Amino acid sequence: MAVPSLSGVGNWLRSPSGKRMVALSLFYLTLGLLFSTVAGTYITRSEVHQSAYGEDWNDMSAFRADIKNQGITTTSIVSSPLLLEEIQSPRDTVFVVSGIERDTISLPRFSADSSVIQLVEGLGYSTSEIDAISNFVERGGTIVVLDDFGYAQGLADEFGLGFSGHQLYDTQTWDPDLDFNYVWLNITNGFNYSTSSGSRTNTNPCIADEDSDGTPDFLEGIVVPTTEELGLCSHRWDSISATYNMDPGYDLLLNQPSAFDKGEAGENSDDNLYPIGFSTQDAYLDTNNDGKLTVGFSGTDAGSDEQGPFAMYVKYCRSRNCDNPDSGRAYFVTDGSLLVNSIYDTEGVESGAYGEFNKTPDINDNRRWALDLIAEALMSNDGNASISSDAQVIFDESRHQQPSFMGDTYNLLYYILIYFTNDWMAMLLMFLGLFVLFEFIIIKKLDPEPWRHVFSIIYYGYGDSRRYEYYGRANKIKQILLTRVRNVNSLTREEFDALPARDLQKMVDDPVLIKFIFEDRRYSMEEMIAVIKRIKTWGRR
Amino acid sequence: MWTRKASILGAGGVSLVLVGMMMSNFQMMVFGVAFVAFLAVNSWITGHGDIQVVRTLSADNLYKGDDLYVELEITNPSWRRTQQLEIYDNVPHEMKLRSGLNYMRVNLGPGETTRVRYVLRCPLRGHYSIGPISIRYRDSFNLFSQEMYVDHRSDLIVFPQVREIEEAMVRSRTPKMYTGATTLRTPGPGTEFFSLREYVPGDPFKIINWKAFARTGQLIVNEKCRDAVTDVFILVDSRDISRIGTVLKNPLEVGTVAAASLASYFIKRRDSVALAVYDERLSFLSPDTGDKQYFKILSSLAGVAPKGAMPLQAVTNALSSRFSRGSPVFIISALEGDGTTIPAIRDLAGRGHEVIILSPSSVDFERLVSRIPRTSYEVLKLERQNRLTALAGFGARVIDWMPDVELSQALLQVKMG
Repeated sequence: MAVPSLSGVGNWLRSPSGKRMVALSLFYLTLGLLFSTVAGTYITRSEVHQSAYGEDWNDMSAFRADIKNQGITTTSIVSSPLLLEEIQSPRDTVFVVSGIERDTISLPRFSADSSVIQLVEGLGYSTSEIDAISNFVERGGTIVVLDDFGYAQGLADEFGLGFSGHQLYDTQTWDPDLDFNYVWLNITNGFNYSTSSGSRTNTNPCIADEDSDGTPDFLEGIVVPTTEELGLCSHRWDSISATYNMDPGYDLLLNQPSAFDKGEAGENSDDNLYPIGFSTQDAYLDTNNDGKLTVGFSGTDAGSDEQGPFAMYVKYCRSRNCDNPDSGRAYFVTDGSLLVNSIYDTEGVESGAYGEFNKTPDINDNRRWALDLIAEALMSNDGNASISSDAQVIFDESRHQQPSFMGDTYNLLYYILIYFTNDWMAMLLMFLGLFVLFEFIIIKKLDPEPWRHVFSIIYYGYGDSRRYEYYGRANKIKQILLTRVRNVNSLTREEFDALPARDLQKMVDDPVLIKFIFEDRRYSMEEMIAVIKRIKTWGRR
Repeated sequence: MWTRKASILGAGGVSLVLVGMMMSNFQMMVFGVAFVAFLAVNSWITGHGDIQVVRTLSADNLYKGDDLYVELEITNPSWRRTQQLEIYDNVPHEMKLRSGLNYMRVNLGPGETTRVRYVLRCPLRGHYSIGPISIRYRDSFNLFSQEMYVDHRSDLIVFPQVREIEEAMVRSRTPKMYTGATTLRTPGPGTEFFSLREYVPGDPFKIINWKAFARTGQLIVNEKCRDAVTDVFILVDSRDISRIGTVLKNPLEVGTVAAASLASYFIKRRDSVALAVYDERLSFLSPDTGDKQYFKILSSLAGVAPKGAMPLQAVTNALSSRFSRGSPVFIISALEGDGTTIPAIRDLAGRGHEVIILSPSSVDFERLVSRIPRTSYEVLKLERQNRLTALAGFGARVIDWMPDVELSQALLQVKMG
């Protein structure tokens, strides 16, 4: 193969095609750099956790595996919860949000209140997304929100809750086998919705026992149930002792939990908001964020931490006391790691499935709690434990870092696509954009011109029209007449200048022209034409 | 490049997908995806412009007004079809398409060849280049088009027309003006024997007549007759002002025709012709005769363009040492806008040159493009008449050349002086 010489390369670089190629290369290089800079922020691998699809100790693969083993479809949303609007059977769907690690990207929007334009959206999810989640619950869907210091505040606001955003230290229920970051949330009865409602265990099909015979309604008359008969409540069946656990209480193990704001998590029957799990009275919220428990007098001292009890598990039902099994529900727990493998799957931890740990967590009820709420949401109340074929659990991965290469970039692009086709302000902008695009194409996009030879030499000429007026003046005509007289008489300029007026008159020998030469006045057009005619004929006589 | 059709199809497809997503309308999305897919597939099966083109011209040099026959042979050396291929031979705008088309739309199969033939008329002198060949290829659905060039050019020269002026009354006072190259009865460098004379120091040895030396014992040399021809000098005014008029009819255009015709006439008569063109600078071709000189003169005249404002006196001063004694000097100029014309011609005439001024009437050329008021026109004509009269007064032979008068007729009008 011939190697191009240096001069050849130089010539090519100086040629139009070479310059164009270099310019194009620089353009795409710049574009690539810009793109990689933007995409790089998403490509950078960070620690992935609380993902239902991760297998690490801080992911939720065990929870997802349990659900799958029960015959429920599991899937995820990587773009935006706006897609919840598209779900056809929300009553058979549970949407799990575990740890909201990223804030939303959104456009300013018009609001119905006095501010008219809402420039900044709430934390975590955009208003449209929160509306979509809220509508999902209204349509009978179930959501589970597990978060502590993340961006769940916007979604919690929608349900009248407020995440404090501070770590909770409980001097009573912290786990001494682990450390103070691990706190037990002991719930005697997870179905005592209000002080007046009493235990409403019948709202959960796994422990609904109308005749109070210690056997759940769906297992009435069955001595040793099969797995099919147990359905979504199989986690309560101990196959070794052949007993069914009817305990309505839960001992939940939390890791670095937070708590709800005191004022905003009170029992409110009107809003169907039921705080169920509380910290002890000796729990403190690290409101001064010093990372230490600073005890003051009833938490009123300046700089001291706020003292409990604090609501940590709140349940919201569309129906009063969650009586209607088909109505929507929302579960809020102030710990994002409630379902992570290291706490949820104690057996797996002991068997080393998630690596070696210095300390292993005690057996807890996190799994039972989680699977109970799945059963409550998806199990039919028709007297057996069957589930709908549409039953599904959707994990929100849109706010998690993705482990795969370019996964976050893909998520971002997908989010933008979903956002622009679901949020009405974004849709409006997109319609405008499409309109402008079509206008641009119709106006600016022209097909290449058909080639045609044009012969074009006859349409231009050159002349000096500025001098025409000058040549119409009497003085110029007079000068030309005198030059003519001088030429005809073969006189030099000097001789002619020295000529007496009388001699000049004799030479001209025309009274009209003599008058024209010597008289300084304005001439009409007709007079001028007459004079020129006389000059033309003069000298030919 | 995307065509408008492709752009609308693409934008429509994307819009359908997006609007389908907004409205949760699956059919709409399917249509949109189909549009986009159609575009994508067609973008992969476009044609190509990898062709070989050979252009053949009937002549490389021709005279103004002649026809030029052009043939393009186009071959597709590739193993793929070209699809819709448009081929356009870029022809200078100054040339007129007389028959045929310099454009063709073809779909060439592998190895196929086709030809494009067309005839051009060249109404304007000059140096031209035909080409490059523009190529545009499209896909079958006219969704994408690509343009490229085949950098194949053919250069040609269009000489000014040469008129027959045999019958014109062109005269020179020098005796060889009429007879072409003949020997003068004076010694000098030449080919024909003139006489013998005694050797003088400095004579080249090759002219020594050795036979005479052997016979007489004295060094005798052969003297030859001088091959004397008339040196005709043609000065062409190519200043910016000489473009007054239309592109085809202006003092410079008719001046180049006159210069070419005069050169042709004198070279045919075996006289030596020199050409000086002055515009912003002076270009000079030394006197010479023969076809080569004729070609040089025509090429030079083909390339002149109006520019600059070099005065005539600067030209005559610069050439004064090159003018042969007594040789005729033709000055082809409109005599506009140059205050040195009269002194320059007076000097030339004073040095014994026969000065013939062929002056295209710029005022009348200007009338072809401008509406000159009658009064101004008459005054301009009077002024020009004064100028010509003054030049004639210095012994120059002045020809006032009107636009509608043939060169041979104009030359017959030499009556001044």
